[in-house]
Amino acid sequence: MTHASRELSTAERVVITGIGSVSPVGLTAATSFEALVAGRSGIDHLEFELPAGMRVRVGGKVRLPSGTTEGEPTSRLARLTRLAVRDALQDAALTRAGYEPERVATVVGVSMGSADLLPGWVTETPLAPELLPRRDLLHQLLGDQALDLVASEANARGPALCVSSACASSTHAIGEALDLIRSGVVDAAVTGGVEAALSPWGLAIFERIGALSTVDIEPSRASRPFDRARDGFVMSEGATIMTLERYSTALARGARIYAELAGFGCSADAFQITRPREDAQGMADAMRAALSDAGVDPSEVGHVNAHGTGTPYNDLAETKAIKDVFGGQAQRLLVNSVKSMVGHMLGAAGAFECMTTALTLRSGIVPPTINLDEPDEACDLDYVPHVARRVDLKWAISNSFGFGGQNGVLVLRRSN
Amino acid sequence: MLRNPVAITGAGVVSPIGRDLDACFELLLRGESGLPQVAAQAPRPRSAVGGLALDFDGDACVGIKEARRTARFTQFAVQAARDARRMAELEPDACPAERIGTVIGTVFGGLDLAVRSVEDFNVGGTRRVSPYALPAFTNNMAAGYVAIDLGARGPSYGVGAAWASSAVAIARAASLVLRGAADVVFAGGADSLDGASASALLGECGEFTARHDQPNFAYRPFDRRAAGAAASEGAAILLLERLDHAEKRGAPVLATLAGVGATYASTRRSTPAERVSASARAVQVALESAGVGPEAVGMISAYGSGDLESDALEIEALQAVFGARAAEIQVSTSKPVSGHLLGAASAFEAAMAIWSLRRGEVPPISNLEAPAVNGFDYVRGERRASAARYALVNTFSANGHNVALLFAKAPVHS
Repeated sequence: MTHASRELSTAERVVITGIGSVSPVGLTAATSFEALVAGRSGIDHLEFELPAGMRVRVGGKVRLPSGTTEGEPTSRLARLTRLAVRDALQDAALTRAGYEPERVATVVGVSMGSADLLPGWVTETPLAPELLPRRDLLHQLLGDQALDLVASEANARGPALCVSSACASSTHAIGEALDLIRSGVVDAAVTGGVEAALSPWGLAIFERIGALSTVDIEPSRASRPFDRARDGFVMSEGATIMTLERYSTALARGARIYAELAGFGCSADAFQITRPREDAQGMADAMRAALSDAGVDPSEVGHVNAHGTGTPYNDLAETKAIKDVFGGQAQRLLVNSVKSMVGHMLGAAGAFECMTTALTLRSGIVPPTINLDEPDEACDLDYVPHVARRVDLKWAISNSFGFGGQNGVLVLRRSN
Repeated sequence: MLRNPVAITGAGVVSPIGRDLDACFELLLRGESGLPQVAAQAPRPRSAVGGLALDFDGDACVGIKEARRTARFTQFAVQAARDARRMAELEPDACPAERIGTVIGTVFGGLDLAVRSVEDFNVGGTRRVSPYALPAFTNNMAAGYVAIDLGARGPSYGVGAAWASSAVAIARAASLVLRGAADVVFAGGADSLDGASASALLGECGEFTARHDQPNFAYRPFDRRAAGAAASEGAAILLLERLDHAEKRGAPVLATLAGVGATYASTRRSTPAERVSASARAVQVALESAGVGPEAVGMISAYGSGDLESDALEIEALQAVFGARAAEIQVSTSKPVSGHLLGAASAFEAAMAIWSLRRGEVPPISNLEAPAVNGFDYVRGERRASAARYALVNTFSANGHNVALLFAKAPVHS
């Protein structure tokens, strides 16, 4: 086995050519980005009756059109996935690109996978033999269904895998897809992240570990990354799928290029399952590895799409890590957290934020961090509070840090 | 010829037939199933459990306190990774923590903890839910916890690719090593059958239909009387590093991973012919990436689902690659002896194939009396001597994942 050399030729550079995204702020990538730029929140009251004792009040639900279309999958995860992958493929016109199916990879990030089905299964079929799961349930439960949907819609027959690193899952997935193209294993990839865990139980398990915001205020104000009054993240759902191709191929076939995916870096905290290292070195290691992979000096980076969950621990550690990596340049960076508007899509968050970063580079508009009314004293970077900022950017990074201490960072470059 | 092969310098397993790889291989050579005494203790209605890792003590592995906070698949992985590290003589100062990666596949992850958490929630709401459930059951936790246990701070994530999960994890780990993202990577898979959920799901999914009351001869890959697989549980972890890195630190080299190929052909949407073609392609890619032709392969550790149709398709795909040479290639599989180790299966078979290369012996396919499809030299009855320099570990998962891992005998000088 041999690998591509680290000096990237045009043929080895990888670009994003199609995006499909369903999120609490929109059913397409374009409408979602518009909402973010306008500072609109997609967080709302939960629509189901809250179980006794539950303190969480809000979540970020995808507002799907009512009614179902023919042949539509029944699980919510599959519905979101199908919408996103179809849009991405149409956007890229990938089926017309003439790739050999065995040279197209499928890499999907998903963390909670079965969370939308599990409560129903356990509740309705309490292991009574006649009610034991249908043959298809195994397939549905394991995230395998989402992977199968993406691969099948794209007619992709190359390597296919789900990647899980909790809240960083889809960032690692995109990073692995990038590597599969760069190393010459495939010519293109369909990749991203999907998650649909917004059930009473799905919320309860996150509330129980103290990760969620439980403050009783207007829903749009609950997600408050970097703010002094932040008290946890707001859970949401969504799916973002994108197509990756070699720059040379995309140019030759006249594909729209959103941005170049220039690098990926990852690391582990090897510290605790639900808390980042206090010295934030795991996060910093991942950022350094990604910048080095992209061959870019920190001084050239203008924007950080932060993990910015709004938990006390994350935002402090992430700020510290950014300062550690960028040193004197940190104050110059525009750092934002779109989770302030869309909440935390868990395994799908990284892909949504990668998409946001690509559109930020392309448009030159950095969406704001809303609800940042009074920054935490230790959070002293420019988080683009309240209002979007127009700026000339060439390079940006997108951070994702998962429970279990698994960190992933993508580097994107504006494509001219 | 191989500019930059990846060395396998350590291996560790937890399985129904034990943790000792030499002993596991001996059992295979004798063609004895390790499953019967296990199944007698764990029969469940409509389930398909072949073998549990009953000797494994999670409390002893991670301590009583941590055992309550981790899922059993994670504990399996921790033990297998520790054993792999010991075998590889990877001393704490041999490699910076930032350069050690952990990539571990699983199918069920901590499903049983998740199910119990739902049950708790249904009974008593949020307050009844254990705060330790979520950080334990997600599929990334084997990799995350092994990283904590080993102090490994390099790339770390979980991989899911149905029954090919550990093969895909090994393939991705090889790429991490080759692209320089890590110096050594612990890679493989782990799955457990604790609780009723996993076995209930397996019992319904159509593949694991071997009679659990007689697993010692019910799982019959490639045999005319094949009637499904018997599931078992465990973990298998290999330690991968660049050959030059292994040699520089004087590590024992068990074998090298010379080539990798992977394809996907959804079983729901593909014809049998398409599945065959995709599987053959994975093997071809593995050979090409190793820079060798089909004539180099001396033995194949086949997937052997134990389903008549799937076994026939797997053989058809292999014949498409090896053609007339097929008759000279020894085919074996460890599955009837160990059971199908689910998300750890391919890594376990990789370890056994590596032992075959090292020992120059190929174990028989236990329970194979009359092959349903001819073409290859199925090893039957007795162990066979082998001069194989390359062993192919083939995964032909019923869910459509095809992965071919090509291992080469360790270079003589190491």
